[in-house]
Amino acid sequence: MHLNHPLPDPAADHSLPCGADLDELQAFGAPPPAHERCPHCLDAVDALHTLENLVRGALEQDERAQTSALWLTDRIMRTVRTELRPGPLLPMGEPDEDLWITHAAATRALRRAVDTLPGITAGSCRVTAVTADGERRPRGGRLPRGPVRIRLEIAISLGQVVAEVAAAARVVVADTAADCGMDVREIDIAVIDLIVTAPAGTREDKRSDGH
Amino acid sequence: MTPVSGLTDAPGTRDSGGGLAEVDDRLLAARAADGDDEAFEHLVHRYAPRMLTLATRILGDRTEAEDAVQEAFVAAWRALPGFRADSQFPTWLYRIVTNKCLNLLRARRPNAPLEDAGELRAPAGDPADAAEATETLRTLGQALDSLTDEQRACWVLREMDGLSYEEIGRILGIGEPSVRGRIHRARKALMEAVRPCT
Repeated sequence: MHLNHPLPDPAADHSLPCGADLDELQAFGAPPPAHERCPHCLDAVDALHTLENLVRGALEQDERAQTSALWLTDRIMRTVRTELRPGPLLPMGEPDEDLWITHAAATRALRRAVDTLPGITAGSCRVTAVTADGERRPRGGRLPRGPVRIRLEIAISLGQVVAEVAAAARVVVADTAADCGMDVREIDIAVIDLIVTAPAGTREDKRSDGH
Repeated sequence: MTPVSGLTDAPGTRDSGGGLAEVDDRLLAARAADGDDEAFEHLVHRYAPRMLTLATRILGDRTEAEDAVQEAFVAAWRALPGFRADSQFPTWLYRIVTNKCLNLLRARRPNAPLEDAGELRAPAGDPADAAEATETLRTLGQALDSLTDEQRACWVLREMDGLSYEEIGRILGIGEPSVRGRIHRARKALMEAVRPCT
């Protein structure tokens, strides 16, 4: 038995009856040398050309049809908003008060505040309880009343001093959390991405991961 | 044929108004995973048209495609808390939409022809242009009808959406050689289907 020679895969046979490779025909758009008058090749080139024209025409229609799909966004979001995920309630105000804010509302306010800083975009934001014995998971949909820890991920534009940007984000998070009436014990800022902004007038940005 | 898009992330810049329109996918997905529906809305706005086109081509029925895309996005919203931040959001979304479409096709009676290739509708505009566009889409729709479901999905993802063999393999959960084989067989079948037009 010659186990080193597996049976040929029919799907891997990309050749026409004349032996020309279909993928190469598509890539070059013309028969290979010595096949210029081959009926198989000429026929295949014609069919590929027709197919390419159909695809090109359809793609042009796609571009024109993009705006006609905008209403679908509204339809999808109407359904999504019936299934919001507000997250646990976070304590606001004094320990003996009964004031709460949803995790989604609080983190949205924090992200929006950080987004106003030049060269920073906020990502994930999580608020957890801080207790003497460490973090506690929410019970009954609420964090225990008391101080909280905020962890915010940010992406920053390349060329900025990371420590300065992180410090600015920390200040904004602290101020906004205070405005929300939250007792913040710790703020963790994690730079998860560096954004390389392309020269003005282009939209080709490059990104690189960074921590 | 020149692929037009692919799975590159949207640019990572922000417009001067502080909105999310140009925030990159990864950050938007992270925010949406936290329950930020506004961030998710931007992802829907960004990808719904492309997903609708994809679903229409695979299903051959615009109305069914709209329902499939809506269900896929709602499924994505529900699953986002478990979405790995290091995964590519578009690949993940393509997987959800494509599998949703293939499941719908499998639920139809086996090997049933597409209901109406003319359902690949052209947008409104100049009547002469619209007629030509409709004819193009009808011809392409009929040609796609000659493929198996899996061949159609692979070919559309490759030739219409411009994805790589590797990306298609990840989306469909199959190996790259299988993707190449399906696309090759699809191309041969489509060439045969469009021959009367030459």
